[in-house]
Amino acid sequence: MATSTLPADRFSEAGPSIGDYTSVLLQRYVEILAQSATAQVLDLGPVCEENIIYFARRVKRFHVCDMFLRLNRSRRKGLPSKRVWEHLDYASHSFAGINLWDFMDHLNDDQVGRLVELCHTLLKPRGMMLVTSFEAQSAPSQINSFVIKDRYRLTFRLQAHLDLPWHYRSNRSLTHMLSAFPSVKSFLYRNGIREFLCKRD
Amino acid sequence: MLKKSKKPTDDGGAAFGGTTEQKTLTAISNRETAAEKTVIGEKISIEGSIQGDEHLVIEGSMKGNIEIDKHNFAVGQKGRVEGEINAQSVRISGQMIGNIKTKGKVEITREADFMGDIRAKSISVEDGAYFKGSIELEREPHRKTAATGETTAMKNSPPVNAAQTPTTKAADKEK
Repeated sequence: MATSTLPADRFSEAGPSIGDYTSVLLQRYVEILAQSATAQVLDLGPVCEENIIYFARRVKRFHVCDMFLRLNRSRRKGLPSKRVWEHLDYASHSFAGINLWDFMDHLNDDQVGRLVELCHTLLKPRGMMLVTSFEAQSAPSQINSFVIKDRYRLTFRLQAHLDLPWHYRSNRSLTHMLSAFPSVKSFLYRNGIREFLCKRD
Repeated sequence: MLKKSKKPTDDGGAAFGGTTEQKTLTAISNRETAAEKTVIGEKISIEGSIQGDEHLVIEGSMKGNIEIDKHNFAVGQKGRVEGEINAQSVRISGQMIGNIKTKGKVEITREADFMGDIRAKSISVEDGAYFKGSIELEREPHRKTAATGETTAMKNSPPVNAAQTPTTKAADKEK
């Protein structure tokens, strides 16, 4: 698998400037979710007030389980990494959408495999998953949350309390890992961010 | 029965604006603020439900439901609560497991460790809060118009991503 793990100090202190961008796939995702009066959506963090308000006003119920923080704590305490998945103890077919953001960038291949498997279980048929991933040269030196602004514009906010490894993957590698989802739409932005909108069959 | 006494404070107590070190009192009813408030101190544990007509701050430990729908409720940084909350507004800075129902605002601070479901008019959540739960807010009026409006706006103001390149993959079968 074309994956490489690089230490955070691989980049300059500030890291390359990411810059805001307007997310085409977020727009598509939200528009589809908003068509349902009963859609429930799960967000895997980091906790972000703007995103909570944004989604909670557009879907029936918005769930947040901050897996970034949970993984961070688990690593700090030296707990077996498998235990972190116990937090995603939701019933099968619960969600019309799952927001992964760049969580996969902080997981090794085995963990990504488990996450994708779990998401496939948690999503309803035809449910969608929004995945974001940085290209190696564009990733910031520290973890940021993706913050939804108006008109599907995304900005970034530093999450200094999080310290997780980065795993960079090629497009081929990422799409291979998402192959459990038959329909994948993806976009590469000028700022080096890749978005994937996956749809469960 | 809770011990009550007057305690002049200028900050209104931990949960309504900051931390306090009220270690000497087990429970304080501050009658010098605009509204009455009860603080359950750090060294107090309560099991059972609470109903009342004044603001309530838990700095200690509480297991049970709380019904103060016309008043504010808060869990201070050292507070631990397990139960259902019905209050006018809620602020969580400590540990809480349980559901919150309010017609006002819920505030989850970065020190909070919250697990439960929230139903509120509005919410604020600080980055770093340890949070697992669901949020149900008053929904925006439906979508179709809003979505169309945003689509139009998108067309009128092209995104930054001029170099957007579809990188993959399978045919998009969405309708």
